[in-house]
Amino acid sequence: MRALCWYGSGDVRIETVEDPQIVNPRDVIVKVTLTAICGSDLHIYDGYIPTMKKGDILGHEFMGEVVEAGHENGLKVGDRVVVPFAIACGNCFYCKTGLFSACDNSNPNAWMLDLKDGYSGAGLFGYSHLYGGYAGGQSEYVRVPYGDVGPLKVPDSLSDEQVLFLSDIFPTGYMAAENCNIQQGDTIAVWGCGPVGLFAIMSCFLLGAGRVIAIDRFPERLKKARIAGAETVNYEEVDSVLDAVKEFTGGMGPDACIDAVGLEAHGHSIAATYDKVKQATFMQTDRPTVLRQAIQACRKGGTVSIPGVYGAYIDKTPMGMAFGKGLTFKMGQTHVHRYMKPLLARIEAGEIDPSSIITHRLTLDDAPEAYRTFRDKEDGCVKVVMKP
Amino acid sequence: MEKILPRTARNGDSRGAAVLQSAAGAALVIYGAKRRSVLRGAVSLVGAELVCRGVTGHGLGAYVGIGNMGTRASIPHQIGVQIRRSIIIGVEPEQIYEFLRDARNMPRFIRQIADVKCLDDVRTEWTARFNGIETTWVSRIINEIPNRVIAWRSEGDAAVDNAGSVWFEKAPKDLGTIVRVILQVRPPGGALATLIGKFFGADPERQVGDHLRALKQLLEAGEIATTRGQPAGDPQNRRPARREADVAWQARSREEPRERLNDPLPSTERVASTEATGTMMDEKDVKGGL
Repeated sequence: MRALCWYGSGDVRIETVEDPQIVNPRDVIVKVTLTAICGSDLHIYDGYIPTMKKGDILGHEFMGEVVEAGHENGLKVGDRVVVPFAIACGNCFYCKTGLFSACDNSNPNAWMLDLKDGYSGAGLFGYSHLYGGYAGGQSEYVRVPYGDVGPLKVPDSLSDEQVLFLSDIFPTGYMAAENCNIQQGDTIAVWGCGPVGLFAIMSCFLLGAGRVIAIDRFPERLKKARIAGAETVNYEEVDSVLDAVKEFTGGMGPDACIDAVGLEAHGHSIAATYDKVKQATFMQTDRPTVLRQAIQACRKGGTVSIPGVYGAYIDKTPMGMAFGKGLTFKMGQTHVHRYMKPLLARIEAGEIDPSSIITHRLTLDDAPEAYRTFRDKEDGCVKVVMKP
Repeated sequence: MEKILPRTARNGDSRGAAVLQSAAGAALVIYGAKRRSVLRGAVSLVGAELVCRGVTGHGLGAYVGIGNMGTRASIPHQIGVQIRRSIIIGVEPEQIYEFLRDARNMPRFIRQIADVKCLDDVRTEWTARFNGIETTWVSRIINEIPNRVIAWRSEGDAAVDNAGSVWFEKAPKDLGTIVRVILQVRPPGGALATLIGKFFGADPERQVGDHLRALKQLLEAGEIATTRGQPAGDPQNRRPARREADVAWQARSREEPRERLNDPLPSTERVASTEATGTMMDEKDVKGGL
């Protein structure tokens, strides 16, 4: 089969590799009908994620048709499914409590994260050997372990584009909004109008927010945020994002702040330059520009919700301010399995159309170009989907 | 926690003698370091040996696995490598105890074990394959309390002396069982070789951790997570052979052991061995676990 393989920073190639096979009885093989590039794939593309090996297949947002099923699960050949990006066994304490992305049993390389961080969460598709080294979904076929827990059957009445994002970004944006503990009429600030940020904005309104202010610098992304109902701030055009947010909220600050940017944040402040220097000299791994702004902006007693990925350590972050304001921090890898059915119901009911964020529709062979376009946000690129 | 192995290797020398020994050794080391020559180097080495004996009671050779350990237990606890790992598994202590008490279940989650032969109710012959090298040894269960602990040591002239225990404690709420393993191993080349080996990925502590995780996966999820032999781009296309081996091993891990040798006594009737070198333990010695 053909698959997108990683060969180094900025170097991904389409190669012909062998087909995946069933190894364990709970496995299924899915023939991919649609797949996408995620913002977190860019961290791999840019070389920020350790333990990648040349030839690793990327991709964790995919859906398709079951072509082979090990004999112990509820899926049949021919079932049309969306597959969550985290792999969950369904039987450990964390899966049973609904914390699927913290699954104890799905990461065969758990010792690596155990060594690095003292714990290991679930294995992920196409996201380095730290997370199990599972071959990812930017390919024609994928071996999906624990097929009775992960894949969600989707009705034929919905197109691939409408349901693909149940695999990752829609539940991610939704969980980010849910973590804000939104009360009816609340004001929420969202940093980052990429796909996750856009879903976060849409989810905030679904959950009862009154006003959402969205911060980014790319015009097409800000436009999509406005279409979703947010009021926008272009941080390249204002002197201070914090002043803009403060004024918007009458000095009080939003009830919750969502950091949908994560470790590769951009900024122009002195602190941002400090971050860049520290990162270049390997003295810091993550750039917490947005996190700092979120802490500074949030109202007292508010919530900072972090769907944006952080990898290791951050520097110079106002913990004292966070304490003084009594902030709640909620974060983490999305527990996709928890949200798939309820969000599918919302899509079926017409409350939201996830396909509205797609700007580029390509084939798998276009993937290497697409990565560059997506990373550099050229050509008005917001979200790329690819047909193998 | 209870010591299964004796503490000291010093054979009753007085403290004074030990201090003199160390002092003499230190003097020799300093003398030997003053000028560079083979003879002086040898003098330093002798001095270092004396210092080591004085301080710890055993020679330098122990750190590289040479020499006579000369005590009652399989491995004095300062020698070799001690590994402690624990894990919570979401099944009842009774289930795990029964699973681990049957030695034939061990190869199901420990990849390196190629074969197991139950010689009698407490003695088992193991064959392990590691990096192409095969070793065989016999171990004996020296102590057990049903659903609480199993303790073992290797017998005779094992290539890799080992002794240890696995403890089972009911975890709080409905989390299942806390399984704690304490393992003392005297690998070839001793502690030094182990330290060097860690840089090449052969870390015994990590391996025990991996085995415990595999056990947890097998008991909770019914299968052991793996990505061996999956498709990948060009440089890694040696994978098909690895996958076949892995599929075969995965299938073995799910197979229940077939017939039981000597159909043993039911668990509650097993009695702890009272061989001269073991210690008889019972409930009151186990003060609520560790």
